[in-house]
Parts: sequence; C-alpha cells; structure tokens
Amino acid sequence: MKKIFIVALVVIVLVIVVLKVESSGNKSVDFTVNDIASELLNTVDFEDTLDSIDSDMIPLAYDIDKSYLIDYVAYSGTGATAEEICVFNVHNIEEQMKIYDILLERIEKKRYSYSNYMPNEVSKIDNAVLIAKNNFVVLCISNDDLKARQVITKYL
Amino acid sequence: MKNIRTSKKRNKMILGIILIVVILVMFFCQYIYGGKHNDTVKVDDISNSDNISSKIVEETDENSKNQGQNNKVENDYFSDAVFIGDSRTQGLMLYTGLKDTTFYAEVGLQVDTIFTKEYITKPNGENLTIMQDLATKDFSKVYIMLGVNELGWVYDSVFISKYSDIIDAIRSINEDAIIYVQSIVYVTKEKSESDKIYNNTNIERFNSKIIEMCNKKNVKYLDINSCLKDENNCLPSDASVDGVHLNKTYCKKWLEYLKENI
Repeated sequence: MKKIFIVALVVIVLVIVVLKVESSGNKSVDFTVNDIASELLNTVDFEDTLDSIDSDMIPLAYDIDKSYLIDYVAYSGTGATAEEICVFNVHNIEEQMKIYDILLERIEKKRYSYSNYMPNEVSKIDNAVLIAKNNFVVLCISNDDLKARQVITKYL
Repeated sequence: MKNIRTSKKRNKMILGIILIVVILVMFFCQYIYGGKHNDTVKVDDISNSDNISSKIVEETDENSKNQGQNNKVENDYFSDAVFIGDSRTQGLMLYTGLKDTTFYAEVGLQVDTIFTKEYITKPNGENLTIMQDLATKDFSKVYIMLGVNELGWVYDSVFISKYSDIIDAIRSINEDAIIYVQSIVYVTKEKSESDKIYNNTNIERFNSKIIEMCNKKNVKYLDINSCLKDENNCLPSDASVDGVHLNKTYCKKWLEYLKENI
C-alpha cells in the first residue's frame, strides 16, 4: 500500500510539473522575431523597398500596448505599395489574440485606404498572411503570399 | 495466505487504475493547453506569385550630416507639433522616429478629404475627420504637406481654395499655432517624363500657387525640394522605388531639413 502511495505521489508531481510548464505559456523557442522577419525579407518577393520602422515607433504606429510585447520588429514599404512585415512576440494567448485583432483591423483599414488610392494593391491586401500562434503574431503583405506562409509556418 | 495474495492483487489493480487515470489526465491536459498554443488564425490566401524583384534595403543609418547651422533643433522640438499629409508623410512618420509627434498621415489624403473623410476612430468607436480630431488636440506647430494626390485636378484654383480652408480651420482651432506649409516634393526624372499628371512641371505649377497662398495667409513655406533634388531638379532616382514615395534615407534628409528650418 505504501508503495502505491509513493508511486501515485511521484506521478501526481509529474502531472503538476507538466501542467505548470504548459500553463506558463512561455514555450521556449530557438528563434527570434528578427529571424522570422529577416527570412521573410530575404526570400519573399516584394516590389517596394522595405525599411525597418524605428522600434520606438512600432507600438505607436500599430496602436499596440507596449506592455504586451516581449520583442517585436516591423518593416514598411515606402507608400508606393501596401507591403509590410511585422512580427510580435507576446506573453500569452490573450495578448496574442488582441494583437491579432488589431492587425486584422489594420488590414481592413489598409484595404479601405488603398481601394481608392491604388486599387492594384488591394489583391495583395486581400492575400495578406496573418498568423497568430505560440505567442507570436506575424503579418506579411507581399506579392508572394504562399512563400510568406511557408516561411512563417516553418517557425510557428 | 490467500488474503495476502488477494490484497496484493487488489493493490496492483489500484495502482493500474491510478496510472491509467493519470495518463488520461495528462492527455487531457495536453489537449487543452496544447490546443490553445496551436490556436492559429489566418487570413487565407491564394497566391499568384509573380517574380517581382525584391528590394531590401538594410538600414543605412546615415546620421545626419552636420551642416553647421546654428538653428538646428532636435527631435523634441516636434513633440508639440502636428504633421498632416498623405502617404509621403506616412514615410516620415515611420522612418524618422518622431515618437512624440502627432501625425495625421493617411494614404490618399487630399485637401478636401481632410474635412470629409472619417479617418480617425476614437477608443469609444466614434469616427472623426482629421480636422474634427485636430480640434481635440493641444499643439503649437502644424506641418502640412498635401498636393501630390491633387495633381490631376482640373482647377488648381479649387485646390488652393481648399488648402486655404485648411489654414483657416487650423487658425480657428488654435490661432497661435505656427503653420508650416511644405512644398510638394518632386518626382524622379523617369517618373516625370513618363507621366502626364505626376510630373515636375505640374508640381512646380502647384508649388507656385502654394507659395502665393502662403504669402497671402502669412504662413511659412518650406521648400523641401531644396534638400532632396538632384542636378536635374528632380527627386534622385535612388530616393524612390516608384518615383514618388521616399525611402528611409531620404525621409531622414527631409527631417534634417525641417530641423534646420524652424
């Protein structure tokens, strides 16, 4: 009987440890936001010149609460196209979904702006790749959405 | 003896049941939490990937060359400033790091839509035009650059009339604010020679009207082209992908000009 309790105790401790690790929401990953953004920049076809946005400006430009963010990076086109890349790493699923909603709204706004200004860009916006997974949110608006998706899903 | 055997058998059964329950709990937990982690939300896409060349510019942080001007200000000078403009001003906002400055920079913004189009959504869901939102802000300086999207307008008099309305509206909101009107930036030579509307002849024509308006309204005119143009009086070809919108390097030159011309 004593033996059973010891085994049961060990197993319960193991379960608690597993639960703790899972619920902490911080899966350790061996890549950074810059790794994803750099690979997108280097492998996806863009018409525009994509330049990095100043890191202080990113939360303001995207209207995102900075306290959500562990790490982030964004590249924007010059205005000649709707192209952009942004990658956000957050603490938990709730923040992930909030940023996802903000980016979804951004896509809608962009579609509205470009529909009159540069209708040719709307197809890129319609094919925007927005993926939220594992506490990362990635948006890529490009001319090559399949490649963009391939790159992002390689990491997430 | 029989009792001991029965007891051992029962213990093994209990142990087996506990293990099975634990394994089931672990699987359940893995499903619940693992499922959350794998929440994937996507805007689906169907690609027609054209092989358009990628132009990636690494950040060439050309720190502004000191041009030896005494009146040069720092970024904080613009913390009480408001910038109003179209997609070109959006570039200035994104690439120059003026994080404490208010920007109304909207793709396709024109001198009339500043009064009519509800670009601004407030936290309570209310939609406002730029001019309506400006009325809620504290500011001391306003920098305006508009006009490139209006180059195709039939009457430049209508353009100037609407532009003048903007100056009047800003003054009615804050009569003490310093208003800077920036020139329409040239396009590249290639663009200018190939486009019937977006060319430097039209830009010169519109800019001369803007200068007249500035004199009449007594507001400061800033000739941004003086710091950007090449020997042909055009936007240099390395400044822009499409001949119209400035890249980061040239947005920084633009900001340096503003810092030197207060």
